Amino acid sequence: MFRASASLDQSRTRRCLAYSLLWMVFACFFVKSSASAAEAPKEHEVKAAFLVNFAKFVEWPSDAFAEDKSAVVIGIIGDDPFGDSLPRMVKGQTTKQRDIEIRRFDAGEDPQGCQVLFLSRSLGPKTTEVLARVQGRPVLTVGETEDFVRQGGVIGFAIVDQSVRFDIHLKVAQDARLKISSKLLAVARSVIKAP
Amino acid sequence: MKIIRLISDLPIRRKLTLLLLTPCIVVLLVVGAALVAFQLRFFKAGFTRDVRAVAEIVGANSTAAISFNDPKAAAEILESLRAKDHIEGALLLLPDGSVLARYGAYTAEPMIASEDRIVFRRSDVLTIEPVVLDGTQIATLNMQSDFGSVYAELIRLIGWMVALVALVGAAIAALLSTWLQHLVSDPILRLAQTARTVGDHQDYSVRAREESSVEMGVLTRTFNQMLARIELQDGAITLARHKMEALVNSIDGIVWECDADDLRFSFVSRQSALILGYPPEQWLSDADFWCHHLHPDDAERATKLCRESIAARVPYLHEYRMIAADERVVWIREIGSILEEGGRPKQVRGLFLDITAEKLADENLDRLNRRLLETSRLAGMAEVATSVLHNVGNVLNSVSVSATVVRDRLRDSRVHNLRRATAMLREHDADLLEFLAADPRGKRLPEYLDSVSEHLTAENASLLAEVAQLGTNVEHIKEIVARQQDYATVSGVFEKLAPKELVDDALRINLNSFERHRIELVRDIASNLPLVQVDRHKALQILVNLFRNAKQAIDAAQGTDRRLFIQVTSVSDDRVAVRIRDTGIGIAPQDLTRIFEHGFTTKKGGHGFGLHSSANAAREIGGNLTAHSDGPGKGAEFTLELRTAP
Repeated sequence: MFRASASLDQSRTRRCLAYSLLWMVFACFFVKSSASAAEAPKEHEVKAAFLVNFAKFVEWPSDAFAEDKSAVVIGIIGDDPFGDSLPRMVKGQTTKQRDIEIRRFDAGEDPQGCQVLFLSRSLGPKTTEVLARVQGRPVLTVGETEDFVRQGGVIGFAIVDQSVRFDIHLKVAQDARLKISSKLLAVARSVIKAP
Repeated sequence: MKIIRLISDLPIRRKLTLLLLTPCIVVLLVVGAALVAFQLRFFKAGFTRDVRAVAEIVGANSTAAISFNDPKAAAEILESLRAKDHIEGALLLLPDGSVLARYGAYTAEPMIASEDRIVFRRSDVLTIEPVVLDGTQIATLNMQSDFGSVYAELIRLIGWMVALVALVGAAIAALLSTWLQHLVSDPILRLAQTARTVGDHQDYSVRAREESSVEMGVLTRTFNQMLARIELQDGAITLARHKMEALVNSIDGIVWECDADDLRFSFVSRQSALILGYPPEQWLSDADFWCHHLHPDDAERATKLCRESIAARVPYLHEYRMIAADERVVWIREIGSILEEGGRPKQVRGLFLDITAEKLADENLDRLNRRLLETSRLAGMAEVATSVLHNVGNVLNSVSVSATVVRDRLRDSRVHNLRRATAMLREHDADLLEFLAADPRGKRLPEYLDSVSEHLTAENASLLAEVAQLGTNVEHIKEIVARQQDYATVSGVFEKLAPKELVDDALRINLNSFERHRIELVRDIASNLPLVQVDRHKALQILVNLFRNAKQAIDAAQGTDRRLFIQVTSVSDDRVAVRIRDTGIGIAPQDLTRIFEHGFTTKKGGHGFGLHSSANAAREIGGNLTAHSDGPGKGAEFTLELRTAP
């Protein structure tokens, strides 16, 4: 009897948990689906998520941060294509016990003090200029143009079969003293090692 | 119980081997079982650890693939699970419940979160591993591992291992115990061999080899001492037995021992061959040897006495005849005593003595005695006769004198003078008056007659006196004879006689008269009658008297049924009855009580003396005489009871 009731208790709590989980999942799904229902899943939403995630698979040298606890700054240079999706992603997120901040730079501005720098498609030919500007600095440059990686960027988004993928230029990253997690490398579409 | 008996039946070598082997095997098995339990317990923990490590690694490795929504990469990572055979399938579940990647065949319900990270099911194990990146659960790895077959495989492996170890251990233990048991069993077996030699050959001179170990040394030493003592005692016993046998066999009689129930002999001394001609072996082999060799006339009596004595458990002695091997009749005196065991007769032991010679001597003595008795009786009779004759002769002198006197007187009598006178008177018959008156002779005749009558009267008186004297003398003779008869009665001799012999003697006396009167005799004389102790002559007198009476009764009846029944039976321990029944005139009931009275007779011319004196005589010899009749014309029966010899 006791055992049965114990197992009953257990199964009850488990069922409770399962219900709440289901509810959470359902809520998530509902929220998500309501969002996607409002506006179809946008390429930039995915990219924004990726941008945040990149920070989690990259290690910066210690001098990249002003202080031990200073936040990881994601800089956006050029026109911000993410709208409110990036701030939404960042909100409450941390990586390596650091907060994540978003800073926007103008195309001509020197993107100082950021660890991740997204180079907007809007930069156009100025992209190489910006890259040259941050070269040697521990900044993870992320672009969305076709030949961004060949131009000297670290990670370049690409659209493959209607899904967002990316290439990584390892050499550039090493030059920038960035350690890219092998896991990240494993999911990249291509990893360029030669200069 | 059966196993215990089976083990206790084993030879000591096997037993010892078993003794040494059993604990070894038991220990091996227990240790094996403990190891198996231990192994299984730790296998589960190890398995859990292993599965969780794999899940953690895969989860960690797949963070990027999850983060960057790369199912291909995720699938590739999951594919690395192929290295673990037991992992059957895996899923990477995103928080929204969608499956990012899949490996193998995952059949269980996908679970995003679970209390237990490891769920053991009947034959498999589910692992629910959250994939966490920077403190956030980004996905869940579900893994299904085949635990059952791994477990079975493990059990099989351990089983084989344990079996192998047990086998090898047992083999080594068996070898060792076989080698070690010799240390213990060899001395015991040597001792046992010695004991067997002693037992088989009854050879107590054999000795066991001295053993070096303490206990066995003591055992063999003691055994040898025991053997020595037994050897000594055996010798003494053999000697004693020989002595005893010699003694028993030297007894001039058959010493024997037999079972109290079936009288089967268990021991018979050698003398049996000498006395009866049957060797002891023959006595022992035949269960009823004794009964089979008894004299037919004695068999029943002897067996009965024997049985009764055994039943009463009293020592007994009896004599009977046996038939020897050469058909001789041997008189045996048996003395037996009963051995009891547990309150009932168990064995009988005793002695058969050959008393044939003794019996013969007895018989001779008896015969001699009888002849002596006869002779003395005859001598006594002669003496009596002499004395009677002497006395009678004395009296006869007087009788003779009286007779002579009477004869002389009668011869010289004057009777002829009287005749002359009567002749003269007849001569003168016609002229009697004239003669008496006229004739001178006639005139003297009355005077003459007167003198004659006077003379005759005197003579008569004298003769009367003489005859009286004669009568007195005759009476005297009678008295003498009667006195002698009385004397003979008093001095009557009692003898032991067979009733049959007595009856036969009495019959013999009357036989002629029976034949003459065509009387049929019907005899019924029992066999095995005891001897009677009587005065032969009185008994004969009674019987002869009774026979004569019977004959006269049959004659008087004048019937066609002329039979005389003679029956002799034993009526009690000390009485034998002789019954004489006739088909004669019988006795009236009122006479029946009086027939033994003095002077009573129913016979014409009878003197009433026979039955009275017969009854008296019967009493005098310790018996009695009784009569019985169903009435006149229905015959009579007289019973003479006689006393048996003590």
